[in-house]
Amino acid sequence: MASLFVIQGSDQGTRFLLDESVHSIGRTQNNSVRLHDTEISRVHAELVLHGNNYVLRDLGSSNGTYVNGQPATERELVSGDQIQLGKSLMLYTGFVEESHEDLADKVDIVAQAAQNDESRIVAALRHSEGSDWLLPEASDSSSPWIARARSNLQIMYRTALAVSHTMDIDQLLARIMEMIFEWVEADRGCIMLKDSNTGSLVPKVRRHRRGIRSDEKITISKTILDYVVDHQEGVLTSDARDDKRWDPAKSIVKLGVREAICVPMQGRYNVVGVIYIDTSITPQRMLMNDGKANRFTEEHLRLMIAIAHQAALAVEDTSYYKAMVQAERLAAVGQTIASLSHHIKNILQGVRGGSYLIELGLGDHDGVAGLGDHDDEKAKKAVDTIRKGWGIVERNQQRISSLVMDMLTFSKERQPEPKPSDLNEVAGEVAEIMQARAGELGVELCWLPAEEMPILMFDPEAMNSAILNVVTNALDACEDVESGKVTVRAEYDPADKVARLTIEDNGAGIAPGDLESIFNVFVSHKGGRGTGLGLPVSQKILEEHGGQILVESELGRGSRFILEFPANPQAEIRQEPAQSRPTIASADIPAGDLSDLSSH
Amino acid sequence: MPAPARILIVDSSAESRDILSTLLRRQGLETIETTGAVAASLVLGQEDPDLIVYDAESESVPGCQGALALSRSASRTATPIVVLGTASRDLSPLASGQFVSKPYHYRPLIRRIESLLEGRNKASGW
Repeated sequence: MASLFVIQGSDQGTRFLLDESVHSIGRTQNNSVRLHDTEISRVHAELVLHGNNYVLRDLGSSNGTYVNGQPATERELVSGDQIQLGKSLMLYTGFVEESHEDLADKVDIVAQAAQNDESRIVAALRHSEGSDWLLPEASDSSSPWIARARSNLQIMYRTALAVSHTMDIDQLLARIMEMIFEWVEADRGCIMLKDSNTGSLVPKVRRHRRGIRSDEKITISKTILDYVVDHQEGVLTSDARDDKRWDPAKSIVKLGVREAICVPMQGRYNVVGVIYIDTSITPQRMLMNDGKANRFTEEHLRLMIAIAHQAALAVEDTSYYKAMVQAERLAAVGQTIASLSHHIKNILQGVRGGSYLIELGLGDHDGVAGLGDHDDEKAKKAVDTIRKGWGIVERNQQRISSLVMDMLTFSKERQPEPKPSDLNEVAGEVAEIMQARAGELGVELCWLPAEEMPILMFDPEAMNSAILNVVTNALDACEDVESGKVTVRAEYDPADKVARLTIEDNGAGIAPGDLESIFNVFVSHKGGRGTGLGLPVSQKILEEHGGQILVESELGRGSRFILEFPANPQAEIRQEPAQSRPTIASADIPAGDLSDLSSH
Repeated sequence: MPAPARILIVDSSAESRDILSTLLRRQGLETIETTGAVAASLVLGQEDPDLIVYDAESESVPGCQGALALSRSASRTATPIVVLGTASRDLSPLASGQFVSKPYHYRPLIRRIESLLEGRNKASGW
């Protein structure tokens, strides 16, 4: 059944089925297609069934009726037409032809052939061999017409193959040129593509037959090129002044005759370029051939047009694809820059605030000193201001440094360097560093090292960042919570040989809808504070160690992040890296000796 | 001598609130701090501040209802509002809104707040 689907406007998403022979379109209720659009007339237009399609007729509306952007008073619609009335845009879908229906029912795919079906595979041919039969066989030499037809089919088939198998346009064009040269005796050839910016033709591929001086320039008449592009027609040219009655005694014979074929590369939408080949016929050859010197025929021309069409489709597809990839890349770069500059801006704002406080504090201090009297209270106040400013500057300096580290980790600039390390030590360091921050936020940070933790092979610096990011998040999540508490616990599971670090908080928690995106780059749920790099970086680091991050969270109750990776005890590591590194016996660093650092 | 003017600071970052609050108090002003626009709208009714400084970029959900509600309540009470950072378009018809894009310098920001307060004082006949 035909229908109108509103793709833009206040009735967006509504589908009107067209089941009557006449439908009226308008703003008022008595229209069978009623649109809530103030720019549409009361009875704006009508649709009248005409044969297998509807005819759209404007009924003297004040704002007019447009089909595919063109004003229309009366127009037969075809499927896919876009109709614009007022602010509403509708898509017309015509009647579906019978033959397209229920195709699925008419074709059965069965596991085994039915018993009475005697079909079996009699011959199988690899895709790449499909063109072999097109090759002219020696026995066919008796029929030059068939041989030529086969050779023509062969080149078309090979062009199609080249088009479907080559992604790189320059490579494809070179391949096509090569095939043309195998098929026709051309001396020189070139393919020119239209530059998408300037519209001028730029040579992409140039080829000469063996024995022809390759440094010779190919000169192509602009008149011919313009003709080919403007008329979208292929031409066969000859520079013989008069190709029927040329006189062998004239100078042209001394110079020979140059013949050329120039065809447009006509794609779906535009001419994307031209293919040009030419050949010169020497006087000797002309005499030998008794005047019938034409090497290029109309058949060549026709085939060249077909080849050029194939090539043009490929060029269009590739440039479309490239434009898409480029657009996506630009969008990603834009997003990256926007996100980074936002974060850097916030850091800069903090630095400015901190340094302004320092400046004011120094001014106060100078004022106190200048007065000569020793007002201790004023002096102390000045120093307090300076100290406060300094703290803010320091904190933002730390933010820049972790942002840069995260960026490096994320951009693969930094390769993981596994070495014998103690997870208790690494996580303990993080806990120690974060104590200060926890104190500021009024959050209790609890560090529980594993009782038994063998020396494992991992990258301690990377693991430090991974843990730091998760602990920072946990602390931030507790900021607005009364008696917030973050617990960091290390474990070693000797049975599964897994090292595990659990970071648990009783903070804000993560909304179920946000859980999926927490590991996405530049997605931050922390407002202005987050870079959107922390968790993706942590995840990347754990993945590089063959591990993973598990998350459980409940909104308002808190979150639990489990960082685990397969324990690769130092004794069992591969020989290769171990030899190049100083080995430390596990006994040298007793496991769990860092529990003193714990601060609960 | 009139009572010191009170400034409502709306910013989710404790550090930013701290800086601005310290600077404003140095100028002899009083400050009230809230973390977001929703909380600020509530405070607005009770505290009747003389001016609002609102960091539009610190909201985790940009252009949320809270910001709109805050701007409406501010225009109802004719409280001048200084918006820091790029705000969504919903906020543009602010009654006596002033936009300060980030990153800003504090000295001019403080000066701007003070001149807005002066203007308000004159208007109210102080």
